Amino acid sequence: MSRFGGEHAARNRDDAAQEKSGSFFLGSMRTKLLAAFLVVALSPLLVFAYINHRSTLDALKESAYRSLSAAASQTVSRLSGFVAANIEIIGAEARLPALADYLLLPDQLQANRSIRDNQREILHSFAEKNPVFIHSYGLLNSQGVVVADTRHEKEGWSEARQGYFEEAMNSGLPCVSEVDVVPEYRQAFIHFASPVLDRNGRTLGVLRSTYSIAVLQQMLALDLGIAGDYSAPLLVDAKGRILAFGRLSHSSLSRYLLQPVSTLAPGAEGRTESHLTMAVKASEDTPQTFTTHLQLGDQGPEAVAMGVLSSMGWRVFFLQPEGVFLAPAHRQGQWLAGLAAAISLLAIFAAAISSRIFTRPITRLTEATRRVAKGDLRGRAPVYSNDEIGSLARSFNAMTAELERRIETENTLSDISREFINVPANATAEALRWALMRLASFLGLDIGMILQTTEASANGGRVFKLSHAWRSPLFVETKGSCLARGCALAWLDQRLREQSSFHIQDITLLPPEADCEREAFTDEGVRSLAVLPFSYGGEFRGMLCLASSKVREESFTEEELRLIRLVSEIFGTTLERHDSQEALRQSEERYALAQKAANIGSWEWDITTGRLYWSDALEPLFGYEVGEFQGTYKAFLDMVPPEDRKMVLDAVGASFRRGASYNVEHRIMRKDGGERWVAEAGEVVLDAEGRPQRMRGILQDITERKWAEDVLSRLNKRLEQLVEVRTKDLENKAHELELANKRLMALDEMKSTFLTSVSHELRTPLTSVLGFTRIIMRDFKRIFLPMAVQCSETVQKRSYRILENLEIIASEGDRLTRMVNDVLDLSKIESGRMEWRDRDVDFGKIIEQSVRSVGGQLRGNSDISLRMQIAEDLPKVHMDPDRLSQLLVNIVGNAVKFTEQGEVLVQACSPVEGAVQVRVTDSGPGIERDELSKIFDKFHQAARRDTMDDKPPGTGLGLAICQQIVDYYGGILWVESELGKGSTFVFELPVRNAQDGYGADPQPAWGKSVTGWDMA
Amino acid sequence: MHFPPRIYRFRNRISRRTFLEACAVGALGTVGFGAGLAASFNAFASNGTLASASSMTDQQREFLSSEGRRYCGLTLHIITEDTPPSRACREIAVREFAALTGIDVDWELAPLRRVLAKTLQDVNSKAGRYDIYYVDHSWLATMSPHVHSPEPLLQNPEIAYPDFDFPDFLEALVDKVASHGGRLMGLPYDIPILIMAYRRDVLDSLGLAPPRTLDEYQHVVQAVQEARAPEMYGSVGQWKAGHYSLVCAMSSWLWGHGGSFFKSDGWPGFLDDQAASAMRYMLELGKYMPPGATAWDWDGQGRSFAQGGAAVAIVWSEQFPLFDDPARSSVVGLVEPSPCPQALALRPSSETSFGETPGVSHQGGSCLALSSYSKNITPAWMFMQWVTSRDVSVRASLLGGGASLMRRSCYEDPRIMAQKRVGPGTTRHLDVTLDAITHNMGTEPHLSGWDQLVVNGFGVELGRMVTGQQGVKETLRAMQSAAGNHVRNLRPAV
Repeated sequence: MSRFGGEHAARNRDDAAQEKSGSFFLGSMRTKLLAAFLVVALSPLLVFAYINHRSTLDALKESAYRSLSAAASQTVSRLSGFVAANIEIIGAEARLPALADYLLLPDQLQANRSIRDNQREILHSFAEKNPVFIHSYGLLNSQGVVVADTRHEKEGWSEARQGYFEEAMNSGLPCVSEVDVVPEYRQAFIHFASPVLDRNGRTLGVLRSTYSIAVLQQMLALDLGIAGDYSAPLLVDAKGRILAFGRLSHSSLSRYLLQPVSTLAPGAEGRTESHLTMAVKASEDTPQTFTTHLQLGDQGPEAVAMGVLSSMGWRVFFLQPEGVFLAPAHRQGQWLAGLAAAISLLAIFAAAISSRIFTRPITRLTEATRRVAKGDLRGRAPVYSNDEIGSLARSFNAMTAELERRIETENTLSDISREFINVPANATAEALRWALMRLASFLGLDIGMILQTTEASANGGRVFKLSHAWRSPLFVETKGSCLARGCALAWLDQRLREQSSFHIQDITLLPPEADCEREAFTDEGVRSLAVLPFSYGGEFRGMLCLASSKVREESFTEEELRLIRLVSEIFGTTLERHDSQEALRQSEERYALAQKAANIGSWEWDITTGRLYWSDALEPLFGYEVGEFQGTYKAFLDMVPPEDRKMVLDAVGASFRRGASYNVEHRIMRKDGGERWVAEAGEVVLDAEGRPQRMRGILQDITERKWAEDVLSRLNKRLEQLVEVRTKDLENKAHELELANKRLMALDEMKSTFLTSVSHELRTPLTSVLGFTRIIMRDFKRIFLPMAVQCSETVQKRSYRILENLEIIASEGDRLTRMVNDVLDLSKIESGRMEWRDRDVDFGKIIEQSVRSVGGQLRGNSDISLRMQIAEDLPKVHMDPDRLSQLLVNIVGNAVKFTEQGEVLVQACSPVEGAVQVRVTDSGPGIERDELSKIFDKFHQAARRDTMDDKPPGTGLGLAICQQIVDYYGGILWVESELGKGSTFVFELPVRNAQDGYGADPQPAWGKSVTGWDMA
Repeated sequence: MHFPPRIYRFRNRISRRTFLEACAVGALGTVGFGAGLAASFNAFASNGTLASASSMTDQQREFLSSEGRRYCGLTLHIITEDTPPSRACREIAVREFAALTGIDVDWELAPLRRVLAKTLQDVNSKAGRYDIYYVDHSWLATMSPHVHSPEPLLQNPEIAYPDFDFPDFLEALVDKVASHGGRLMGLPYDIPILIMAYRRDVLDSLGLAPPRTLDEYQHVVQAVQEARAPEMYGSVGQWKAGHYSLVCAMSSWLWGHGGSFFKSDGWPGFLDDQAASAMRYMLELGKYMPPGATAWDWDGQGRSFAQGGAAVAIVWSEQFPLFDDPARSSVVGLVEPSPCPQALALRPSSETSFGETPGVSHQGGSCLALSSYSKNITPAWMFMQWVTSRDVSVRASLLGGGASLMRRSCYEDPRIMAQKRVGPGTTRHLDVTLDAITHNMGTEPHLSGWDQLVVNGFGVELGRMVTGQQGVKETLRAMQSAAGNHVRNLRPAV
């Protein structure tokens, strides 16, 4: 439950995290639809807004530049008109005869006050046309001296070096000067001058008017704002000096007056230099409109249109902050932004509705899914339509219902399982009854029964007895029914053997052979029945019956059947456990009884609490009544005599340190004062972290054993004394034997060397004898015998006698050769000097060759048959083929040799358990029992050779060599024989491959054989 | 059409359909409310016409039809400055007076200088072309010999316009606008007077109170300038170089600093500390004005202020309705009238000459005067009474866009009171105007040739000063010299 709860919580956290992340990262479908709507709705709008905004900006800039250009032209026209008008005016004024008349007067008369005042009045009248900005009017004589001026202080000044004077005098036409500063007034002025001519056209002097250049600022102020808000003209002369700036007041202008235009933008000189200054210096192809930055604006870019006052070389720049005329575009942008926001809201609204329509079924389905994920399986997703989503909702509902059913099934199973966890034995019956109730109720059934097999019936079938049952409260319980008594349900038993479970829809429809079952279950009120077997301990132990009092036509679902099977297994396990608990209880009783009989008691010492618990058997041991001892470990130690106490504590301490068990025997003092010996064994029980938790063990009363040991100890001491004496004697004998053994080994070495050398020395002349014998026999047969046949009968008989003797010589020579070879072979084998040329050989083929080799001896002898039965799948073996052939020839040859009539059968079987077995059976006279143990001894057969005159003589070493060969290869060789019935020699050789090899292990056996040889 | 009743049950939640229906109802309601509001505004706008309806009494009508009919077929000639009230008066007169009396009215409107020129031409020629002169208060001395004083006519009950109530004229106006040397020269006709206008929204946003003193005035315009320039300047002046408007603007600061054009001995008063302080104060204010101020007369100043170019200004009271006219103003409802800042010191009239009366609220009033050379004195007097009567004054003021009123009773006329709201022809400034007339009115000296001296003397020198051509002392010396030369021959008459 806790694990499930943990997973549930984790899943909820995951869901929450997913919901959270989903809400933020467009997780839900509705949000995605919403986003898609917004993208579709806003993208065209934003593109349109951008294009519209850009085109609006361009249009506004173009319009602004047109307005600024027009304003600049207007200002230029105004300034041009001012200049032209004043030139014209002063030209007209200079033609006033009074002026020429005055200049024609002699100096003395000119200085006359009244005459000069008249001139001044004339000049004042000229100045009244613009009294504010006309600083002065003056009349200059031909030398450039001011002879009359509205500003009296200027009379007498010489202006001969002024450009306007020279130009007027030289050209004879009105002119205008550049802007210059008059130091006396610390002001800048512009002068208009016109020559004063006499009637003959002679230049008498110059009429000059002086304007303060404040007039330019005043004129530009009139044009302030004519090209739009904050538009203002800037007047710059040909030298790039500021003459007027409509954005400044007269007082503010004084700071910039006649300063380079770049001073209007300190900190941005570069840009200003590159625009305004270049425009001042530029030629006709200079752009008439551009953008610049000024300190006196709003610090933003300013659109500039330029006009040129060509007569003066002046430039009029009409400026306007771009932010001003672009404000409509910016407002439009804001409107568009607002429109976009409104459309966004509408789009969101529409998208929300649309997405709600589209996603509501999915949302409801998702909500239902979340409810299901949170464990609420009762929720169902509403079905809004018959489309795919509707189909999905229906499928989801079906799945949820199925899941709910399965979970209920699992819950039922879980409840039942929990009921049986740690259920005590005495509550098993009640638990089973409750489980039957739970299971039957879940399945909608009325009855649940457990029928257990108890004993075999008379006919050998099983008897079923109702052990546990639950019936619906509405059901009338029957008593004394057949099932309660136990009955053989043969038909049901047979069905259970054929089917693991089955369902009987109507018990009344059972076949006639199931009368017993029908009657038994009808007595129980059963009408329909589901049966499942249960077993434990690997044996069938009964059946679980779930029944209804009504006919149940519908079959159980797979899930229900699975539940029933699992419950059945639980029942089986429970009953098995119940039986086990019962057996354990009985075992414990027996154990307690055994403890009591053996004077053994168990104890357990809780180290953490210091409490010491004794079994019932211990208290009598210590002289206490049962249940009287309630002490601690210290109380126990107090009952240990002081002289043994340290030993006990040391053993316990060592056990603590090493975590190992301990055994100690010590004495105890009984409550009544008596002393007893006990054997104490204990071990430490560690916790999960390896720390001692408690100690447990047993105590056994060994007082009687201790007494017996005491007696035995005394006897042992006496025995040890005797053993010691005997041991010394044995040591002396062993030393003597060791010396004798060394001598024997030396003798054996000498014997082997002797045999080898003797055999070698014997074989050399023997070979010559045999060779010459066979030459003589050949020559005799070829030359002398034919001659003898033609001779007399005596010669003929003697010839045949000679031939027989030669044959005897050859035969005995061969026998002697074999004997020598056998002696040599045996000697080599025993001395370890034999060279084993092991290689993979075909075992069957070797057998055939060997048998054929021996078979040659039987040619012409029809009394004996030699047969072979060799398995076809004999493997290849890794052996020396010569030794193997020697082994077979010796054994088969022996069999042939001792068989007078009958057959010799050679059998070779397929390998069994890694060894191939060869059996050689003959029909000879058999071997006496006493001889069986000797026939493998060396030279044994030589003693019996006289009894077998017609047989080829043997060396008596053949079987001994065979024994050695078989031993070398790790095999065994034995003989089975019964006197008068023949003998069977059997040997088994392990089948080994090249890697295994031979001879490693048999060496000790070889050594034993040597010893045996020597012994013989 | 019948709509079934609908019950909306919102409770805690509202369905989408219900929400949409509620929105639709709300939108219809808003449209209906807007339409109703627009109709209300239209209806309110039409009140101007209704308010200008005549309220002449039967006696007055009978007087005109009986006494006036005696001069039926006669044509009266009058020339006045072309101002909105004059245009309104002319419209009323031409349409109504001729209908009531059979006397035609030839009302010529011209700029002020043109009016002066034509008037001087007429008086110099003594042709009597005009029966009624428009006499600006600065011309009183000049025109004094050429007008027929109405005092004897006022005493003649036979030609007295019923309920004319001459004492109803504001005494200060009768004294300073219609009299010269103690002699009544005419009937007060209009009274432009300087008051202060300020942008309530701007000062509120900056946490500034309307200035009450000259120092506060300077502080406010400086604060606004620093906070709002170049979108808005602290103030704007009628500083057209060489123009009379520049002298009017200067006179307020001259008087406000305790100075005067003339002192009691008849000599100019520019060479004193008060005048110097006034000039420096004026130039300091110039720093917080648009650069074009030196090229703007009162019209330019009014347009600039109406377009939101400045936060505080000393303007003519007759310009105030311009600020509330949506057709010409971008600051409708945002401008409040206020008395001019209190003077630092005010030189008593007794310490001045030529009838000069110091007061920060410079007045530019005028009167209608009977030409001494007119041959139609009686019908002209009857017309003057009618046209300056309470009813016609009120109607002319309303039709003329809230022009100042001469009679005290006019300020309390229901039609005037009803127009005290934001909109064209507002009269909500008239309380301040009346206060300025009665408590703070400044009047220029009444001396012959004053108009020439003001323009050619003071205007030129002040123009040079405000355009940076000369300093304060130089300007004051020049003005002192010009004024001194002008009054040199007049001093004995002082």
